[in-house]
Amino acid sequence: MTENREDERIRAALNRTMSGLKANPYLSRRVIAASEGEVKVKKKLSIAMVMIIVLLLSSVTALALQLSGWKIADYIRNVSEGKVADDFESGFQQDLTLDVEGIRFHVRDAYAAGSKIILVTEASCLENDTTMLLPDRFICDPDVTPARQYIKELAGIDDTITFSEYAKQKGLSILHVLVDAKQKGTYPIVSGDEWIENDTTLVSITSANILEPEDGRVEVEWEVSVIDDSRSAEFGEETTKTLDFYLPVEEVREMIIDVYQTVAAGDIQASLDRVVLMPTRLDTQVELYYHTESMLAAEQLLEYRFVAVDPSSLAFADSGSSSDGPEILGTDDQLVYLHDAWTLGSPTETDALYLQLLPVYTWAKEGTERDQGLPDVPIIKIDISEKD
Amino acid sequence: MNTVVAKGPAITRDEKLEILVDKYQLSLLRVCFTFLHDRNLAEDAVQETFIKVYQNLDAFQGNSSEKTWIFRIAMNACRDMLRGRWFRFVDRRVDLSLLPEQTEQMENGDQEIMEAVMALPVKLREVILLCSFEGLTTYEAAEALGISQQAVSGRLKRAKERLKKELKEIGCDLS
Repeated sequence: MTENREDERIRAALNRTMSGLKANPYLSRRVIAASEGEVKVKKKLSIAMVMIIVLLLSSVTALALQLSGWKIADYIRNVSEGKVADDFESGFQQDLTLDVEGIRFHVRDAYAAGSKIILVTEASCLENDTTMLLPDRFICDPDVTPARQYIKELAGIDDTITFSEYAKQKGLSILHVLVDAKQKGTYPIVSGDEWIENDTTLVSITSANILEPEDGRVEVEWEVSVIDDSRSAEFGEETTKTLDFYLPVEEVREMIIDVYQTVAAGDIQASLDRVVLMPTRLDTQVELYYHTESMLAAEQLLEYRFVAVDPSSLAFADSGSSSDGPEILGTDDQLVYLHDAWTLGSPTETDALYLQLLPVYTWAKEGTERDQGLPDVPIIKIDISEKD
Repeated sequence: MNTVVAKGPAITRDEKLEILVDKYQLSLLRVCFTFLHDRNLAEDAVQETFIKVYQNLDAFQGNSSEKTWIFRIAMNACRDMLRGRWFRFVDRRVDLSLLPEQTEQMENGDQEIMEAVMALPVKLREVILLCSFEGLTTYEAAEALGISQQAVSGRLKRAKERLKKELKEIGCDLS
């Protein structure tokens, strides 16, 4: 309610302040004229030419900035690095880096397979190792988030210590960073996972769907940011750089498994119709298609999620990235169809996948991350041994 | 579905464009001005947006809402302008005197809120404009900005906290 009031206040204030701005009655005509008169010429520059232009621009810019009293670092801040890598061979031990505000971002691996880009980025300080790098404060609040959520070694040893406490104990300072990757010019669903290695290295897996590969490859836009909360200048708080490069897209064999098994979610009955597995070198992409009998039931089902578990311990399977949750695909006269997608953190090498349909609301409400299924929820076994 | 783009061939592309321009021009102009701090640039961004809309009317699949699609194009047009290297050589401080005289009665705090929104860092300003001002859901804003829904929620929260803090310092209340 408070949020609605705040939004309404912002909306009203902005509308009143800008009430003098008027629409241009000739805009449609101008747009049509501009579109019809425009001749599109697509130019592709060679890498050498790009580098020459970059160098020329840099020197001109440096001169101009010196004259205007600015520092070159101020200029570079927030300005795209531009395209410096044309073809980028996928695979481990890559050597693409971006340096932002004393932080080095390094592509540990980049991989495009099937309909997904997966980028593994490593971030660490360039000159000292006394800074702990964390994700965005609103994903990882140092005063609230238990350190074990990102430092795997702490699990079972100290489950409650927060990042602030942990950093204090270790004599580390904290800085927040963001990593993003997507197909350039598209608007994908981006998801990912992050963890901390050796206290000061943040590893991010970013996964984004590919809309249309071109000539068997995809142009990737890699964006990294450092957030300095102590700054308040307009461009100061979040310092961002981007780098574009191409990745070959590998074809992935889809394993389509028709399940058609009824499953209960509280009082709701649903049918898990189909599971599609797409194993890549890094993970297994999993898509689930299911349906129920009414829109009301479907909306209630959005509060549940199929989760892969170990059938004996009920521990969650090693998760990779996750989508934003299940979605309603559509409806016919009688049934409502739903879809969910996530990835398992490693390629599936077992003969079966074990799923539980678990209420997500429970663990979101408690503010804790559950890492185990529920003993009273049935397990669905998906045989994946001899499927194509 | 309340969209123009999804309508069949009963109306021509030019007519579709006219309807869209009537429907969204003013909203886009206000969003682009708040984003870019410059009326002329905002008008350019709006025109650029509609040129791309017009050129892609037939290709629009309806996978997202018409409004999300159009604002996505507008946000990218604004971002492109921000990234233009010359942009850094121009004074982009918040200056409301660049706006034409208001035709609606201003209320206490309006100007301060406007200035505070315009002074937000770009990434926070984007989500405030799309979610709070334009009323897009976090899902739609995520689609429009090409980031995750979680990132939108996080930035929105951060933006509002910052706005409240800045406004409180000058004795202005957001609620």
